[in-house]
Amino acid sequence: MTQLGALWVYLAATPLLGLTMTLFAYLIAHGIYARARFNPIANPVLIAVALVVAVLSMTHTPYQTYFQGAQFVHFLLGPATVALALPLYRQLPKLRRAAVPLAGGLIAGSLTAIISATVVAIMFGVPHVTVISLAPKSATTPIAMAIAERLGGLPSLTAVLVICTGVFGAVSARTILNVLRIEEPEVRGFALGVASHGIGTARAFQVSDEMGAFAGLGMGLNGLFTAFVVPVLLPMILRWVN
Amino acid sequence: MAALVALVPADQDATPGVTRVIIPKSLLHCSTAWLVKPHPTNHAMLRALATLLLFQCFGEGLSMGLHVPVPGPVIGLLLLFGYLLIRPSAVDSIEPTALELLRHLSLLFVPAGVGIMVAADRVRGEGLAIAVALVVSTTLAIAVTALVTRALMRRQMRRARVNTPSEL
Repeated sequence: MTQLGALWVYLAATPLLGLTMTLFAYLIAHGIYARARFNPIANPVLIAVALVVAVLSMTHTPYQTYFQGAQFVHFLLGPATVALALPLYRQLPKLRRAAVPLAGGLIAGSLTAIISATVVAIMFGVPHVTVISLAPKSATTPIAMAIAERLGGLPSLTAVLVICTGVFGAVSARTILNVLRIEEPEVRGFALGVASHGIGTARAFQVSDEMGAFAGLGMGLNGLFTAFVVPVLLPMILRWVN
Repeated sequence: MAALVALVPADQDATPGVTRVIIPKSLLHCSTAWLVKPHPTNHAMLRALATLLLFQCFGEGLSMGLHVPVPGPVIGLLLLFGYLLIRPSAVDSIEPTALELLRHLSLLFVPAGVGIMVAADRVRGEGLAIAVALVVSTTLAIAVTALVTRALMRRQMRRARVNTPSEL
């Protein structure tokens, strides 16, 4: 047993273990997600994170040690964000056809998401670091994390909040949109993409390709819009509160 | 004494003073073919990845150099988008690699997400506030986006109807 412990300590100190653990946790989590017929509640990222956290805390391995290996996966977030230019480029014809309604919906919805989240959090009296981590939560995860990091929030908190936002949006959108009697698939998809990014987009694609395409457009546009608005708007809100 | 070793095909004569290592001609053929003609798809992927990294570098550089608070990769996204508008032919060479990377996008969030085990200590006791903010804000965002988009779409359709004269 002590030999096994020594082996673990040795392996945990190399980047190899963190990397291996990340890939296996994700594959297991994705298997569970597929078993649950891609129900958004069984989100593979949340399950994978829970698996890795469980292993790390059971073995008393510090996060920093794990991240030494996992950083190789984490690094790819940068090029992946740049790669979002391609699906956005493919959506261009759809954007051109309804430019004004989509731009109006984007600005209204994105500002609502940012302002309402920060104002509610401030009313509860949470510290600024939490407010900053919460503000970009409707943007796609890589962009939201980069914003939080840049403005002094906690990127890891943002990552989890963004995913929770996506799961909540994907689960509740149908009820919200039905109550408001929104029937047009392109409007339903776009709202889902703006408010709950990639997870909402995945949900929209389960309903129809048209809804999914508009959700993808909403996700891309809101990622960009949030990246330019939050760094300007958030300091103004925080100054106004003080 | 240093020995000179030459890899020669089986039917070639030996150069004096050089140790001959005879290898079958078929093996030599396939090994040189591999060296001269690398697999074409390997290059396409590397080139696409290099392009993505290059645009990220441009983005990070602009973000730092101009003191813009917008994250570097997001500026890189915009620059690449602009580049694709100018040169649509570049889409086909970058797209397969870009889509492959995006297909596994969820995996890339895991390392940061695990950081919640460190961040959780700092937000202990704020769980309720965060949950309420998240639920209220996401509900409102879906509703407002949908209502505003639909209202503007209907207006656009009405205008289009007014502007195109009826056939009758």
